[in-house]
Amino acid sequence: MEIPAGDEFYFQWHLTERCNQRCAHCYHESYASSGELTLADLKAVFFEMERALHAWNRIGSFSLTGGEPFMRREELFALMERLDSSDVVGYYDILTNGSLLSAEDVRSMSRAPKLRRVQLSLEGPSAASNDAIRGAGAFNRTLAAIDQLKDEGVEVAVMTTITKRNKDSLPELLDLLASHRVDTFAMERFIPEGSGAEIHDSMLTPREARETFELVHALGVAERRLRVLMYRPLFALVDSEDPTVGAMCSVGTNALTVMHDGTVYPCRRLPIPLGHVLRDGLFKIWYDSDFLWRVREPANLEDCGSCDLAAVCRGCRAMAYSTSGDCCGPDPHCWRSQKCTA
Amino acid sequence: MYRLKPSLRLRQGPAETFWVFDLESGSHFEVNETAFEVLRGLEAAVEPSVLARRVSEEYGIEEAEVMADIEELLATCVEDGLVTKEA
Repeated sequence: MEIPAGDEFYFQWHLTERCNQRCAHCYHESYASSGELTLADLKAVFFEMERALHAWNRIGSFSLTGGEPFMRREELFALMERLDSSDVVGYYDILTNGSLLSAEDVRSMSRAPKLRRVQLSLEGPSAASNDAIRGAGAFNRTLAAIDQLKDEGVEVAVMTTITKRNKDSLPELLDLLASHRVDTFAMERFIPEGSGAEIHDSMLTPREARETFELVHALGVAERRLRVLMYRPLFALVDSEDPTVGAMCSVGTNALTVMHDGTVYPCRRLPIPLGHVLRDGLFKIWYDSDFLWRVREPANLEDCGSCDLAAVCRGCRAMAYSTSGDCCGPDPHCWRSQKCTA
Repeated sequence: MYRLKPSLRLRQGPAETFWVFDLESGSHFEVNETAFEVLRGLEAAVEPSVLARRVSEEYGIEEAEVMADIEELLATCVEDGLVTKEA
């Protein structure tokens, strides 16, 4: 189910920070997951989300994730049941590494009416390329999980975090995904934050970023076996005419991230606490945050403020924050920016 | 004496838009700049008569005329529950 962006509000919901993997590029700094909310609190969080969606007359889309969300299997399925029965939920996705899925889990997911897709991650088309980032054995476990999900009729997405190491292997990766019946592919640029700060030299240069966006766009347009999602900032620079290409950064406009302990961020990759979902409430966070109001004003965004693609792009605010220390700074990969050397 | 409902927040948005947000109910309203300035005055505990004098001096409009407009606006705000009128 695809909802027009203007009618949709997206919550990325981290049920835990605990994880059974230690991916080199991970945005988590800690896996201790201190202050994790109880199931009763998680249900109270969802009540608060429903209240906001009703007041805003928006349909909610959700990503349930972690850490590894299946480390809280009982809470995850309890929340899925709540989401499935809510009149303001359009759909939800589960973002998992797939390694903890049981056959019963997969069967249960196949019966969840509002589960749109399960997203797994692969960093390359081979065990060597993937496991160098995600750990030994991750590649085979992920492919097994994909096959298991597809056998039960669950829609599967694969996300790849693009670095210098894997940017050239995307055609082979798409072939692999097609051979495993993957439905959609999406990419994110690597941002050197959290644990990933230790491999900051894996970040793309501006030239590499431009080449990657152009490559993914070309592959996506030609691809007939699976959908290549290009709803991301900077894609509009490749093709500003096609409405399926590019999307405005959602920070401050139609998305929030709720962490394992109830802390709310504008985006998981922009770890600036805006408040606590239960103590402050979403209305105070959304309406009264100076940070969000600053980002919402296009004129405050360096370079993007004067760009005619601001309505469909605005760069990635998390990337700007990570590289310049200012969320309103320039996206270093934007090749329209005067500071970009691509 | 008029008072702004305590749960309201006033914000100027992008492209010269002006907004009133209710942190309790989640409802929100877009208002024009004049209404926004009046509500901001109430938020800062400025009496409507003082606001009327300021607007009159700034724009060269008859003070009584401005005051009548402000009273009309405030009456609507009271009706909508944004403002309370106290004796």
